[in-house]
Amino acid sequence: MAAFRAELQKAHRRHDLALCLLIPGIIVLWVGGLAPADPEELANGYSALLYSLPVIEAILMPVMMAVLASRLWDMEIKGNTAKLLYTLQSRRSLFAGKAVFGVLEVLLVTVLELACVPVLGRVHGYTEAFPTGQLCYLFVCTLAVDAMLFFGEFLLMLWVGNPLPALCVGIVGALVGLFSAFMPPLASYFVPFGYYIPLSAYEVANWDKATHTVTYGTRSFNWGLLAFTLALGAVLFALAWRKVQDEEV
Amino acid sequence: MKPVIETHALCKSYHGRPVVDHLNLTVPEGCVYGFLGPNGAGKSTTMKMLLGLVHPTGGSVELLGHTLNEANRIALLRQTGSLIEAPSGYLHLTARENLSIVADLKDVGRKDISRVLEIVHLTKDADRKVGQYSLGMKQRLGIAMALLGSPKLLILDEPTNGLDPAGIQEMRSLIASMPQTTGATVLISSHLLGEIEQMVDQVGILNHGKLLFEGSLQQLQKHSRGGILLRVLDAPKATAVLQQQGVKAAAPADQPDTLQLPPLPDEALAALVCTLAESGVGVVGLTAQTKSLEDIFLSLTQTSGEVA
Repeated sequence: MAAFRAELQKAHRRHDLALCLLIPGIIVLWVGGLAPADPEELANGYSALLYSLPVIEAILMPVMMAVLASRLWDMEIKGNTAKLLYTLQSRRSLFAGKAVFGVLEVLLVTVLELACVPVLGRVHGYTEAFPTGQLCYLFVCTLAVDAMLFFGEFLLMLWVGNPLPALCVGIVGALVGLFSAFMPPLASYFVPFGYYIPLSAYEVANWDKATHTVTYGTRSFNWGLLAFTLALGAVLFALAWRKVQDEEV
Repeated sequence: MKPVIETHALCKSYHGRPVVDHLNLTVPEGCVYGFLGPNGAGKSTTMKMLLGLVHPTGGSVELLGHTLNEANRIALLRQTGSLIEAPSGYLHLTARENLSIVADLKDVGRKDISRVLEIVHLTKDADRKVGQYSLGMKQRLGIAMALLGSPKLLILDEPTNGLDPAGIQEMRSLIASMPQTTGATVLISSHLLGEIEQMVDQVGILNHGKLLFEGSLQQLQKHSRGGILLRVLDAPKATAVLQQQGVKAAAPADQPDTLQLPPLPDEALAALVCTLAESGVGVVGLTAQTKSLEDIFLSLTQTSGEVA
């Protein structure tokens, strides 16, 4: 608890909340600007939104996670505080404080992002039934991939001690992740940065060439990939903990 | 006085190269202990091992009467303040906010913050961001963090590094007064004897990871006895007499009437002077040379000779 309280104190004046609001803000601007007008599109509104959200996530989240994870450790590097902290608290408590704080930030970003779905639905007047199950699945998938990427970037930050490589990996990861969406499904499994897309519960059911109308349909939940994402996140978490535990400063 | 720090055959190697080699260090309670050695001697590594920041490859550490291990490390270190290498501080926070974090982690009341700020003369700048501080101010903030909770032991690694002369003087007087003002034992490292000789009671000299000398400053000064300069009217004759007496004398090139003798016990020296006077060499003067502490330190670290 003391370790978490210390992380909250350290977060003072670091504008973390503004950062967490950035993603929902971009989504509202992005999706809000493409408001459907005709009744057919409104009847398919939630499906269209939940189809496009994972694509937007694949572009934004790797960078966002890199920013959150690198900032969390960068302040210790810039302040040369690791030596001091290791004499005041156990390494376990320091890591636990950082992990809980980081996961809560990731959770906040995910909740705020997905809170945009009902808000946009109401503002635009979607006539489609609210897809509670699909939204819950998207929430779990987004949180799992976000957390996995967060711990991957945190581990990288611990290794290199510089936020720039973590940020570069985040940007490159976003581009490769998005590109992987246009590759065969098997290939996209090798790019964890883009897991948002193969985990999506929506697909294009029909595209009318003549009217340029897209109809979205659902597909079965990808539990296997979700389990793999969680396992990969757990491995990255364990590696980051091992790094903090063994590192001599 | 019981020791506050004791190390027993403490070792640390990196890739098979020993950095600290079977170190037996004893820091008595209530003193300012100067831990000296040239750069790369193993001082910082030793201090880091005392704090559990670096894992020893051999030996053990006793801190405040307890053998340091992972189970009791944090409990013991809460009674210890430290400043290792560069000072710590979150640059986006003020000094007071930084001290609040440390106080909470140490489980020390926030009231103590004003006291330590006063000690290090940072009260006026307490609400400024640390990112705007000079290096000297950051060093003082580091000391303030170390002083929170009135620790029994302070471990300071080259705390005057990077300070200007005024800052060094201020830091010196602050540290020298700590046993009296806070009751803390201080272990302070430096690579310059002159920098800390005015504030330390005990000295340990380390080189290549080995302890060359440990004892009081007075004991170290006993090793300050240097050679003797003998000024005579007839140097060649005096050299011959000295040779007969089995004393090796060297003649400095720039002083033809002067001979340099090795250090001699007082009785032997008195007898030698009598012999020289009786032989008619014309003894004009006798000057005892004393090594400065810096010279002793240099000779110890350059020859790696252990001093009892």
